[in-house]
Amino acid sequence: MKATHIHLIWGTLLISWIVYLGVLLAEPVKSESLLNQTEQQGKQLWQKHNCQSCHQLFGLGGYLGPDLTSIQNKIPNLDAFQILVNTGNQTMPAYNLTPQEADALYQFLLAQNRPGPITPLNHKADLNGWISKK
Amino acid sequence: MQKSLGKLYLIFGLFCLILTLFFGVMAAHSYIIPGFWKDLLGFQQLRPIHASSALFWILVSANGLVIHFQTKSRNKWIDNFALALLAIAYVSMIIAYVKQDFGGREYWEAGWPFSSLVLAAFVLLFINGLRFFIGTKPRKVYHWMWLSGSSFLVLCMAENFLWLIPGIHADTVKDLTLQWKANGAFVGAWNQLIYGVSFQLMEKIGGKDAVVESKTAYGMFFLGLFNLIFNWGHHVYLVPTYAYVKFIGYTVSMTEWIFFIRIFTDWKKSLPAELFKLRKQEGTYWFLVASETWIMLNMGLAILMSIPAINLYTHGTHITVAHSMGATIGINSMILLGGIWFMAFGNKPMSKWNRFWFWLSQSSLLVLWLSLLMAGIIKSIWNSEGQKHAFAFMMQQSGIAFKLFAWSGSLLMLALGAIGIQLLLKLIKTEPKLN
Repeated sequence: MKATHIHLIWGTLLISWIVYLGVLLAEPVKSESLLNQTEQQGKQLWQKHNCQSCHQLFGLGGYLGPDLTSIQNKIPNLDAFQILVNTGNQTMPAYNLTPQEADALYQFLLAQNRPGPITPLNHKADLNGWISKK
Repeated sequence: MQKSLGKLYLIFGLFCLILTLFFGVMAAHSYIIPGFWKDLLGFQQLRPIHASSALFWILVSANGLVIHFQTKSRNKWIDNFALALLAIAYVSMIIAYVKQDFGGREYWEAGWPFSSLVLAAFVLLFINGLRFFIGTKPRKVYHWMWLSGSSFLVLCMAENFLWLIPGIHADTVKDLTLQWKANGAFVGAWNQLIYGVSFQLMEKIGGKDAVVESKTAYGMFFLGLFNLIFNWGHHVYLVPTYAYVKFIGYTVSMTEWIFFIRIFTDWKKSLPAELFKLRKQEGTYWFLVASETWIMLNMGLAILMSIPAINLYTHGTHITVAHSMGATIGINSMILLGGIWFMAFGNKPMSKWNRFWFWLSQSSLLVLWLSLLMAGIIKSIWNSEGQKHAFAFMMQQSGIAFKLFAWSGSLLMLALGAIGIQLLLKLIKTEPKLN
């Protein structure tokens, strides 16, 4: 293969990477995906305690614990959440969060569900392999 | 005698391999013994120690082999400084995990200052790689692969820091999309380094010289690079992200059928009777054949998982873990071990014991892979039924799969550990030959 052709294709691919990243960064923020101050604090706590080691958000994280994207279906209120994170269970350690911290973390998790859950139940598969909402 | 600059990298890499095997087995036991080591070293510590050790094994060893094969134009001090940065980053990350000092992201959980050391090391390795590339003519396909790998390691690692920008941190959808993009492409970048090593090895052990020079090799290289840049979208079908990202991800992922068919035909060619007779003693050959077999199995699985209608059920299950373990152990680690074996033992025949460890590693990996698929299928069914039973009940139903996973993982640790320790001792005691 000619060196000039290789340079040209390689350069084009590199530029494509930059352009694709630029397009993504330029996307306007969707209101339902924007976190408020409390939710952002909750996100920092999620990172600080490495919750993603056992739990997932939108499928990203570890699989020892349940996915917490739709937390309100599993832990319906803040009180129950606070008891769970502060006492732990057989597999989960106790985290001793203050009431404010527990609230921030819970608000952050609730915010994950704002754009709407995507599950096999509310989707149908098309013949071309694509999925669409029922 | 000119010394191999890659030797220290490989000693460090093998050390990380032994640690990742040990901590992986410990983490796997958390699935069958609830609360295993919870108060000493819980799963939230074991998982990042295992994952970071695996990342360092792959990244450091891949760079070590590339450095070993790039015998000219590299600045020794730059390579040594990059290695020192990587070693400091690794040790400090492990200390942070043990102290539960988190704050980073998936795979880089120890906070951005630690990962910034890794980025600095990648920049240095890229500079040295570029020096080699400029000073090398005629260039072969694996030279391009190495340049692409080291460039994209820098770009994707830098992309991994974008969440520090407040506007991105506050935007769930953009942040998640960029995180999958950076992680997905990062794997593609290290694959470029490793597949480049595999091409170099094929050329050295003979039999595939023509393949390395062919137009098809370049075609496959560019297709790989194209997939690195665009196919990560198949990770985000279930993230409420931009529709075009999903569409591009799906379309580009389907081009992997070309790889799949090509690899299948190549694999069949690599096993004819006469070649088998000629090479059956050589370790490197067997590690490469193993990697090709695992490429086929994993690519088949990856392509199926890239179809949104299937991904809807498999996303967030152990099927994803089967794919990532199959790829990192079956493909990446086999090529890396093949490369290090070639450095340490050349074409010397494999001993009876080593053949035993090799086959034990392959069979235990197969059981591990299948057990993860089994656990994934159980969770997929649970998801498709609307999660009507409790999570704990579903995990209990997966008990046999997790037992198989932990037991086969223990055997895999023994087998790869035995191979890894031998290579480590050989590299420490002797100076590997250059070329």
